[in-house]
Amino acid sequence: MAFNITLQEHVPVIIGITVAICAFVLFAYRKLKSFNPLDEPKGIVLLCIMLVEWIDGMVADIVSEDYVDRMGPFVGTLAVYILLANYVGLLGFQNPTLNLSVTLAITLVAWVLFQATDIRYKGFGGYVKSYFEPVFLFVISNVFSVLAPLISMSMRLFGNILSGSIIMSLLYSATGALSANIFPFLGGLDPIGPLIGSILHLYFDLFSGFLQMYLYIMLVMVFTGTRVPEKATPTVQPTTEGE
Amino acid sequence: MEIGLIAIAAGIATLEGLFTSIGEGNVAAHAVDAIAKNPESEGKIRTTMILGCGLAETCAIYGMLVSFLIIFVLGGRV
Repeated sequence: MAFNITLQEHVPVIIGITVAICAFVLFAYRKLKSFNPLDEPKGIVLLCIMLVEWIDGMVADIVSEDYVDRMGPFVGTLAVYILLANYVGLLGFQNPTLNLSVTLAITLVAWVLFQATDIRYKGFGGYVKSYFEPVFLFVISNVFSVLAPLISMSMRLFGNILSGSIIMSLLYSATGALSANIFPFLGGLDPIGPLIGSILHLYFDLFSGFLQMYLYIMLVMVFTGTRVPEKATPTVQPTTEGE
Repeated sequence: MEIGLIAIAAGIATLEGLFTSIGEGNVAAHAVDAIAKNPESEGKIRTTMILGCGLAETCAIYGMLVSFLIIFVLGGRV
């Protein structure tokens, strides 16, 4: 029995992004290791500090102060990976987020985190019992509501990137036909495409890519935050701290 | 005949954007109201507005995915 393995076209890009992130992390680690905390941070060190502070601040705001160390690295990894996956289309590669398997895999990890948080605070018995609340018959709708984020979160990321990619490819085929009619002497060159396309890339790749990444990590944090119970005594001291 | 029906179906699926745009307009209108009431919290309101717009947009994205599936999967078979 022979296995017929066909690689999807996104696979080299996915591996490339993973290798690039690993290489960058190793490089940044060496930089941060040799960094004197008394110096003024600049370059990569400043970038890393800003990213970590941004993510940690959001986790502390939305989820809980105790979750910064536990959940910050996960959210940061999601942010870097999804942003890079959305932006790599600008270099002419296929976006990995154009593959539903990628977004579904990311969502599956986040979904396991939600369920684990539920079990952590309700206990396993309470978790199973929450399916049958308020009465036994609600089990069907409860199962659906547990499974719904799996579909909605993966489809949201996938659909947004797919729409941008399809609209851009439609635009490029249109401008290609247009410039073949106007400038037949150029022999298939498309001078109109970059003129219009570069403006639309600003929205569909740069803005939409960042927005979808922000939405995704926001949703992961909000869904986790609703499962973490509030503390009995609300902390009164201001959370904003200066440098 | 069949290709025309497929085109009509894709058009109907995209009509979902009608209601999404009304909803997003509501979001923007209320954000403007809120900024007019207290202008100092503009940054926070803008972030929340973009988040709400992005969430509301999802429904339109579902309709668009359905219309793309109709065009490229069903249309490819004709």
